[in-house]
Amino acid sequence: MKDSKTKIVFNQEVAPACFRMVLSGPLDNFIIKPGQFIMLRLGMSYDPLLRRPFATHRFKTPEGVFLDIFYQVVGYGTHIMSHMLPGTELALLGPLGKGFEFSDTLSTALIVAGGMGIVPLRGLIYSLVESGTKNIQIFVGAKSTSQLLFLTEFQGMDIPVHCATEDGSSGYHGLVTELFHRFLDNHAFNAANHTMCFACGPRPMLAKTASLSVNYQLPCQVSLESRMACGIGVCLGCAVKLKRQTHHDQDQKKYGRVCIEGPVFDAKEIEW
Amino acid sequence: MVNTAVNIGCIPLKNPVIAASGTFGYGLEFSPLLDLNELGGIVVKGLSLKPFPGNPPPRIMETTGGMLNSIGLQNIGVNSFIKEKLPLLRNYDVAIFVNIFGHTIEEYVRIARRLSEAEGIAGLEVNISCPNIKKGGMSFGKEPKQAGLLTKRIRKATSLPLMIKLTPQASDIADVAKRVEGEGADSISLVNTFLGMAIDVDTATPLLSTITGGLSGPAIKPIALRMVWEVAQKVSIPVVGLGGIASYRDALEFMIAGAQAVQVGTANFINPTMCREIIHGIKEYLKAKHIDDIKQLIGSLNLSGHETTSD
Repeated sequence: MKDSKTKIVFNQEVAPACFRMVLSGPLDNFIIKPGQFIMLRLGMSYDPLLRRPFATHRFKTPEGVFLDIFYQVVGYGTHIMSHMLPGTELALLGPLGKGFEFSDTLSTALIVAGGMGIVPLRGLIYSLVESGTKNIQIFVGAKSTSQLLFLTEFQGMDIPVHCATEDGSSGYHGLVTELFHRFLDNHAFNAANHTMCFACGPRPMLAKTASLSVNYQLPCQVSLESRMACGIGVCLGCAVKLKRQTHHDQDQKKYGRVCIEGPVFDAKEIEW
Repeated sequence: MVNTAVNIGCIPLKNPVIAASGTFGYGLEFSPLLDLNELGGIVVKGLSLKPFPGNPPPRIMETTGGMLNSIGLQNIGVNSFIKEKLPLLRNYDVAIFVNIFGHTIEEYVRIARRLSEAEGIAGLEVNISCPNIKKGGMSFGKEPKQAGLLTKRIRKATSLPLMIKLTPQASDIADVAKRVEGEGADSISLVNTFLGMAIDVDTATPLLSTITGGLSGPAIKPIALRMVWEVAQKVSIPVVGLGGIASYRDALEFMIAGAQAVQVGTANFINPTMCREIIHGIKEYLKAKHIDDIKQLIGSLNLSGHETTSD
């Protein structure tokens, strides 16, 4: 983990209200695992005050090493970000948190993404391909077709992509969790045959995916989002409620920090 | 060479910059980013007798130039701190202050006793100012009488230097300061967070689980500074100033207003090396102004030609 000075080299809208920002900087030794994140300081002033957490994907071109960030303009911070020009310097703290875990023996990966949840899963998909996971199935949901990201990219990698849109403009008309449920009904995947489920998206979508994974006896890792001030485990602001582990927890409530114990958790740990 | 060393009562600090409680963990979390030996001091996260789970999420919300928090003093408990964290902190040449809180006077007394037996602690910071717990905490800091009584009891229980951390929610913070001074406090730190709130207008619901929370960050600095200035004139024990400090110039304002030292809090979140940058900035300032000892700055506010509006 270190604090580096990076520079924006690209910052443009790639889908409605969804921007891609590419950063350059001293990134040669910056190794980030899929699921880990960075904290980005949005300028030099106190407004917005806090850094923002982002998933990022490192990539190399003949021009150098870069970090990819995809963000949706949802609030004040991302609104300001969307107006930043190439050349702007941003302080970047990372890599932070715990990423996705999988072993080389994994044979099937079921990827479930809602909206911008596909972003941290994209890096995971690359890693899975690299490590030789034979069967990768991607389930992505969005409000509408225009918000489905990376479709051609995944199709170009010969990975089956199952789409769901809430307005029915492409793929299954409804929620991605419904589509995923149908798939599980028709296929015999479970923990015994080295299958793992990986999910990221809005909280209700993750809760549903977590309960499906329990019903179908699939191990499931979820990447959570939270308001966060420091990213390094000291502010305790990003806490999420964890399930009590029966006897030795007594009546104590239990919280986990998204920035240290997460952002990737075993779905069974979370008190949904 | 400029001299940046200051004393908080009997505690010598190599410089006046202390990392504030609740923003610096148990100190060790920052060691990959910052040489802890460079700091004047560290106040560790508030400790209770037993581990404390803290409040339900959401616990924080950003506001203009500041942030609201309602962490609820989640901590590992005094025994785990002594066993797991303190031995590692002893490897550093930095003054370690332990922030303590309790729900009852008895709890404060017991934690103070427990820490008195430990080695490597420069002093205790007594938190009578946390707005985010139901019992104890701030309820002791709002009333001069209660604050005095608590100080008296802890004073009897330990010989460790006591820094009492005050809440700006007190109706007369200087009054609380004088009372704890009279009961044996060695120093005072102020201010803790201001009680605030934020509402999601789309759902008409509070943005924090506990409805209200403590406001910190640059937004509170002018009010904190005014309070430090007022208190510093009324007590003779050292005052440690905090509240929204995010640059060396902010730190210097508090010292000129009368603070012997400063604490840096929320700014550690924005920039994890903020304390180091502030120390560096102070040194450069002193050099540029040809001031060879920082103590010359403390309480040096020049009021000639100014009128105070009070009295």
